[in-house]
Amino acid sequence: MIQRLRLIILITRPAVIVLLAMFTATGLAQADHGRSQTLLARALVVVCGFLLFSVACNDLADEAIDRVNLPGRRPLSAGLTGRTEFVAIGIVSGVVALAASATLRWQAVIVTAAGLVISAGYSLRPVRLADRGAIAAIVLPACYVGVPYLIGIFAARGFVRSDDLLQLAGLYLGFIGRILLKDFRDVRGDALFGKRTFLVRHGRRRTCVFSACCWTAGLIVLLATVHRPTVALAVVYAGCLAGALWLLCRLAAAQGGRREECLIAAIAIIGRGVVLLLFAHLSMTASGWPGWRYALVIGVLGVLTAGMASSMARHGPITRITSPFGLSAAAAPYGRDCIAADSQGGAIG
Amino acid sequence: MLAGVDINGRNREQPGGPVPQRAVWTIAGIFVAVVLSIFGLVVVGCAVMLYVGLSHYASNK
Repeated sequence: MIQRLRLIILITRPAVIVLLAMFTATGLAQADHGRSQTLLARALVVVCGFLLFSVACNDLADEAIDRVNLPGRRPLSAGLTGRTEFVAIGIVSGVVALAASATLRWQAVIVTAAGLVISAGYSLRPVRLADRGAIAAIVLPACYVGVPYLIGIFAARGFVRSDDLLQLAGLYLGFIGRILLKDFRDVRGDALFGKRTFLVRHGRRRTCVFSACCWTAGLIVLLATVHRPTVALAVVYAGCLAGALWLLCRLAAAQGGRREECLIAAIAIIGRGVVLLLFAHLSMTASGWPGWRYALVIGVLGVLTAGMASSMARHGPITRITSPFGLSAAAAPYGRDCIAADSQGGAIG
Repeated sequence: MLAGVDINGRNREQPGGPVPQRAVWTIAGIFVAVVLSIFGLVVVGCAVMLYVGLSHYASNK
């Protein structure tokens, strides 16, 4: 039973669930309820159910590709669990997401239902948007940013304002700039199985240029639409953008999978830092924090983001070698040992 | 001497960087999270803690 629970936690992929939780919290803060822990907890139940459903669909559809791209690193492709169990997890989590959203508002039910349908269409045939290059890069971020952000908004109030949607557009553009880079890791299997990702179609340089455009547009939109923008936030965001663009230049010229992984992980840290800074800004301004204390926190968060991104770019991610599963698990040893590390990585697709 | 191993047999190319360097960012993040929580922003504090904790691992999002 405990092993099964750990499996479910690994399926949700901690890094991804934290990112989606930050989008949810940002939506809640945008609706002036950033400090409401109860509302956040209720919204997170919906988001967790939605993510589990999405991951179950994706892993079921990509089992063969994962054997090439991520040998032994996905529970299903590693043989740690069966397809029937994955189908059950997907159905139950989808029902839980819908039921939990019904306890919020009817608008939340519509967002959740639309998210589940799009997520299934992204991975499953005959729709299978994942194989359609640019469309995949547009649809997946819509699910992973739009659903949690709007659930956060609708947990607090029953309508969206134009500035909410503009802020969502900024977050969405930034996320497209990051999600395009996940295909670097998967390029071999994607090409092998005819998955026409943006990278496979247009190559490394154009992918990095497009990502840089999305980063720039996203940060400009975020700064232009944020409530009560400040000089401190603008300065830190400018630093984040400069860092991301510099890392993208390095990625365009990088050689070797390990180097690419370091740079992409560093870019992802800056991206999550941007979301965290926005959430902190909205929470502090709503709480009426004095200017100097606000500027100090924003500055410290900027330094933390820069430091961790720099460390990641130089040294790369740490890898866990402990297995979350018992030795009796019916899978290759490589698979058991790698799943913990991969669950932190949290790539979907 | 083996490539990637220093004179004391330690791995010079430790994934994720030297432990003290990682620890500095982790401690700094925990400090910021605690300060934010003390001043009433518990949710932001938790977000900072999770952000720092997971930033040592590979992620492409």
